Amino acid sequence: MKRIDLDIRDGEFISLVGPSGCGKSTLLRIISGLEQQSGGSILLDGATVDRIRPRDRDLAMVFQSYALYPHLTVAENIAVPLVMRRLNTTERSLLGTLLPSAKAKRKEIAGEVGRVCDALSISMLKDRKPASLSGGQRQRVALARAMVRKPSAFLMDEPLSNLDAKMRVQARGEIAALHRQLGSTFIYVTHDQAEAMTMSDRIAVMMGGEILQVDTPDQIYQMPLDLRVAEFIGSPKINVLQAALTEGDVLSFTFADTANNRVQAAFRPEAARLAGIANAPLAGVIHHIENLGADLFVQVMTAGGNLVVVRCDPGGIRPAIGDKVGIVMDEARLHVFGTDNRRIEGSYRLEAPL
Amino acid sequence: MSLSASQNRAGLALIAPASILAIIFLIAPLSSILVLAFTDYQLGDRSLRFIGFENFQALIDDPVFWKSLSNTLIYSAVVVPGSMLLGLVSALLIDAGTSLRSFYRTAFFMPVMASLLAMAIVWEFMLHPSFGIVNTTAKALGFASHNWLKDGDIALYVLAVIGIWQSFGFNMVLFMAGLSAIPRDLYDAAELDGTPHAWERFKLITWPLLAPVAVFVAITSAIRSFQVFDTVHALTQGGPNKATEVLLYTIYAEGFEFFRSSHAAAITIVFILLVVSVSLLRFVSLKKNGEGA
Repeated sequence: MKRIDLDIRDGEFISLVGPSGCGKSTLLRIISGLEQQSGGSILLDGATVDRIRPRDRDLAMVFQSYALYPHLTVAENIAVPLVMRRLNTTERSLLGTLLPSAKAKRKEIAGEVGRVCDALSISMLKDRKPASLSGGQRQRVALARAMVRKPSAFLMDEPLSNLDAKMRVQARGEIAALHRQLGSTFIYVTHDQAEAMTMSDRIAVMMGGEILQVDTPDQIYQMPLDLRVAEFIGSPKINVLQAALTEGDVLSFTFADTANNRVQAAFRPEAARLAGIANAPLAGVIHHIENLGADLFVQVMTAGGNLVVVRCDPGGIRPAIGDKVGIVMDEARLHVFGTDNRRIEGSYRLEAPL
Repeated sequence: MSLSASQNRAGLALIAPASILAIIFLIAPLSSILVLAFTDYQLGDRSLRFIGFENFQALIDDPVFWKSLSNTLIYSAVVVPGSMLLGLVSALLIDAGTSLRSFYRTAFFMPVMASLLAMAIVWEFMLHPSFGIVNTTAKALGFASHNWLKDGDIALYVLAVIGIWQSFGFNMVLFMAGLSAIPRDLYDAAELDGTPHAWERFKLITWPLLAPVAVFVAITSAIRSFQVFDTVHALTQGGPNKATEVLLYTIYAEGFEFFRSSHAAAITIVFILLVVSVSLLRFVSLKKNGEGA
């Protein structure tokens, strides 16, 4: 990892998103203290925690595997963080359970566990073992174990990736609601751009051990600073075409091989529409049509051999596979990136149709 | 549901190999021992007579048998916890370390693979009262020297120490397999949950998750320790004055030195009952674990 400079605000829901192996989980483990950074500092509330053990950083973590203790019941699992912090060694020992102080503390802990269970509606599971729970239930128990201690920040390492698609959408909403309700800082690691987009206040897009952009979901989507960010966020993927800039701000797709000012032009499927060939800067043959009900994604094979996806309204005229069509982009929603993948700011015009 | 005749034949044909082997190697010898235990047969006799429970009655009255049984149980009571504890500690140390793991694993497993009879001779030299390394070291450090194998008060415990040395490597390998099955995430979770030190993590995660392995190790260790014979035969021959007489050695002496085959068969029955009862313990604990999960 290199040049990681991330400033997380108090109470913010920030996602670290990127393809697998980009270092996002490692970054989270370094924040938690489970792994040691080779250089640089981690600051919590303005104070460095580099030499502080994970247990003393006042963070809670939800693991991808949930990491529930398999031999303990749900209630016992949730109680562990409190038992470990409030009871001393004698009170935790077998004989110590008889001490009046231990009894009082355990009673208090049981009360807090009960309240957390009620909040996440898992009270009826309290006496079950993790093995007898469904994936969604385990995920809630892991969340409850993190919540019970009221930590200053929650670290979540792909907590939804073991759930099926339907549960995931539901859990997404629940975690976002939980964040609003608790007001604590959430640091959420995921490889799923949809999770990052739907839940976060801000998203940090990581690739190859580097943070490419940190911004709100809207900014990330509408103003990607790097072509790799633009390609990672959004489904279907953004269209990218080789182009050349002529006359300073005119974008040409029909450039000569020798042309200077080569750039990469990108536009989202909804920023383009199908048109007659005569009026379009880009033309091709319809290769495939994906009908999702609410949207129609038309894949057009251009003369240059690129596959371009265009969103159409299913209520409009339905194109057919094999049709020759032109593509017109919304000039305001064109993104231009240099050959180094960095965004080139400016407003562009499309080359007039031939 | 009724099976057709051809299905029946196929079924019988399929269980035949296993059942034939079981009859030849397990059931037939065991039942002949059982029959022999109720006769007056001695090795070389041309005829035998059923005498009911007389052999067992004789065992009850035989102080050597009781000495042998209690020695076997004392030996197990030392070897089982000793080899389990040493096996667990070495497994934890090797698991926590990063370098030379396979070297330690091989080194500690060596005694399990080595022929105990050959190793017993090495031990005999080491324990030799006048020039053995144990006594010379003890003397150099200012401790009293002992005639380790000829002192009736300690000989059995010396054999138990050799037994621990011989078997802890096996337990260590089993514990290491059990440790590798514990997800690392649990330890990370425990650290963030605030476990203050390694002992607390051991109590919270390692020991409960190793429990099934520990039960298995305890029972196999117990059965193996009941079977102690090589070291006794090579080092003490049950002596001095029956101080190291153990069940298997008594069976051997009765059957092949005094040729009292029926007597030996009766002790064998007792021995088998002992082994079976420990195996049943495992069965019960497995069943309990199965219900708990």
